[in-house]
Amino acid sequence: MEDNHTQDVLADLAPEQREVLTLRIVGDLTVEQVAEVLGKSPGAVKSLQHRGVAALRRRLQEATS
Amino acid sequence: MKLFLRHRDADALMDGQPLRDGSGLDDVDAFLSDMRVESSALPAPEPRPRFAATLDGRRELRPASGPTSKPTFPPVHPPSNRLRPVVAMFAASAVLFGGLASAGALPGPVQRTTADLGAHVGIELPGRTPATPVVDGGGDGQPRTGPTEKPGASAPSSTPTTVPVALPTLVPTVPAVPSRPTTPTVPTVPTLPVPHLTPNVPLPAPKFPGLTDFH
Repeated sequence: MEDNHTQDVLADLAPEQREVLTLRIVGDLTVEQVAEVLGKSPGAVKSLQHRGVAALRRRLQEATS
Repeated sequence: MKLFLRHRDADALMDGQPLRDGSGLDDVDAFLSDMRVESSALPAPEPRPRFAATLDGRRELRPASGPTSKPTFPPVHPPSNRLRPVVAMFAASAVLFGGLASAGALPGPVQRTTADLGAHVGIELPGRTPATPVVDGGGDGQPRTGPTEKPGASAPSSTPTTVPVALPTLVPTVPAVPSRPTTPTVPTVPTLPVPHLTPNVPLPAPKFPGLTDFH
């Protein structure tokens, strides 16, 4: 049940944001390592990470309200 | 309600560091903590081939901090660098040899050969071998050139003596121009005899058949 909730929340994110958050949390990679894996610059990864966290907070607040 | 998110708070969330008070990200922090716990319990999903290669160690990741290695390219040596001295030596020798040949300063045989070669391509150089005229051999169809033996040289009695053929002179002869007198002379006119005049006889007026008399 909890697993489905996590998957649903992550499914609402943009694919790139979900990919960055997954690699950072599940894969335990640094920003530079994620940038290397995805072929992006560290700044682009930080931007995707920031927007992903913001979208995640917005999605969680919508679910609680 | 607009939610403001600081980069510092987002970085702390992702790194698992404690959040500052009043950030309003407690629910997100709890969600990410659940993700970490679930990911450790669940089998890892099928990663992308590129990510799988990274995890397998086939692809080395850059360090998180430190100098980045710049790609090195093999030095490029154009082949013209090796040919350049050869071309320069050839050009210098051609200029020097041509200058000496045009000035006629080369040794005799070399100058003559060079002049003959230059004559073939239309370049007149001094020291060229004079052209030998072709003289008809006298009916046998074989042209005969200049003397092949020196005149006066002893020849065996069995062989006929060769008669030296006189070469025609290549320089044309110009007739001598008589010198003009400095003072012009007027030729004397001889006295002409007075012609015999005929007596004054009136000539009849000419008559034209197509014309009428206007008088």
